[in-house]
Amino acid sequence: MSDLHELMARDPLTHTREDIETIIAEMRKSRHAFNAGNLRAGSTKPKTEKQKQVEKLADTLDLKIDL
Amino acid sequence: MTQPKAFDASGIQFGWDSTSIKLAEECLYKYKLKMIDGWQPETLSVHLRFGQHYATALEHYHKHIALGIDHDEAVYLVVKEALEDTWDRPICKECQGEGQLDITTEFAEENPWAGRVDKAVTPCETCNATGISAEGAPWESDHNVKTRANLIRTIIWYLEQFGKDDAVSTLILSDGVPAVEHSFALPVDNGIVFAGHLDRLGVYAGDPYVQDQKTTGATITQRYFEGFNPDTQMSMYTFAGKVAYGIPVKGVIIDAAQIAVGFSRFERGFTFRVEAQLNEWYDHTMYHIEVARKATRENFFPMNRSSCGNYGGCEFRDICSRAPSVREQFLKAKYIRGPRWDPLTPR
Repeated sequence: MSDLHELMARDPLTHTREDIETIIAEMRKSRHAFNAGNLRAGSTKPKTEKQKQVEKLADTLDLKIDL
Repeated sequence: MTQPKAFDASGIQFGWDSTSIKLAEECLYKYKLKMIDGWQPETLSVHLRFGQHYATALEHYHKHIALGIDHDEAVYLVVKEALEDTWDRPICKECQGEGQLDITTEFAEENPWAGRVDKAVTPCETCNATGISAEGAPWESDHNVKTRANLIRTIIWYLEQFGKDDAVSTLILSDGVPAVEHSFALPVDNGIVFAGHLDRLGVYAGDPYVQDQKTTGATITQRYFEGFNPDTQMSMYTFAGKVAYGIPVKGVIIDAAQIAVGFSRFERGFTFRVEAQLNEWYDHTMYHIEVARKATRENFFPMNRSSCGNYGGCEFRDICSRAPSVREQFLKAKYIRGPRWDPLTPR
């Protein structure tokens, strides 16, 4: 799956339906996380390398961490 | 410079929207700079652009729903549209936005007696005759929170909260058309026309309202909503809803969105207008309009120096602080004279 920031940076005329649905799904997910108490969940700033590494590690270990 | 439709042949404004009424109420000198002379910042205000894309997306969502499209599909359509609208494409460098090349004439070789004939125009292949470059880039906002990504987030989050289970339903007009995205031009007294654009007319708890979308960086409190009474835009909307559409509109539902770095938060507020308030607003507004028309006729636009510091300071404060003889030079350095704001041009 493409990273949200990579998708947003892409020319929208090249977006497939799946790309846009991914953006919507990611944004919905961040709203749920925000409502659950993560006040930074909706941040659209690109993730740092460190955050990406932690996320990758969390995926590998099957942990649920909202960054 | 082309004369906007809202001005008569002698340059006097007869078509008035809430933007121009507010200018006339606020300061006649500012009214002159913006409405008569057409001075404007080189780039559209980030707040204006963000607000326009946001309002358009929600208007179109309600239109899709009223036409029978389901929620998820309507969300998909407006997000797609917003992504495309916020991708800035320059004009084609090859055809300079014309979409065609070789607009030349030449002698017909086979029959010189026929004189000059127009050579066929070649569609520009670089831009596929669109005049717009295939290249482009996402809208780069210079604001820390009113960004393209946060716009998309705000649209999606708003529709998550108010889309499916909205207590406000779109009002269907007597001709069967959903009351969404309606521009109005309403002739009133003395040859004046009130004009504007309503995002949506909705029904809440059995009563009709105009619905309007606002965005802000601040926390939304009751005080925020109290700021809309008195308010020319909200009175104008209620007046137009009542008179232009013949509907007993009670006021305006304001859906306000707080845009922050990590979230978008929404609050719904109401501002009501009773008949007597609207009558008073009408009389006062007609007075301000007449004053602005008189100022234009006499070319005398006095400043209202008491309003220079309002709302964080007037955008022209720096200009007005200069001696009259040098203001034009400072205006040319900081502003452009683009197409003038025309209240009678429908959105």
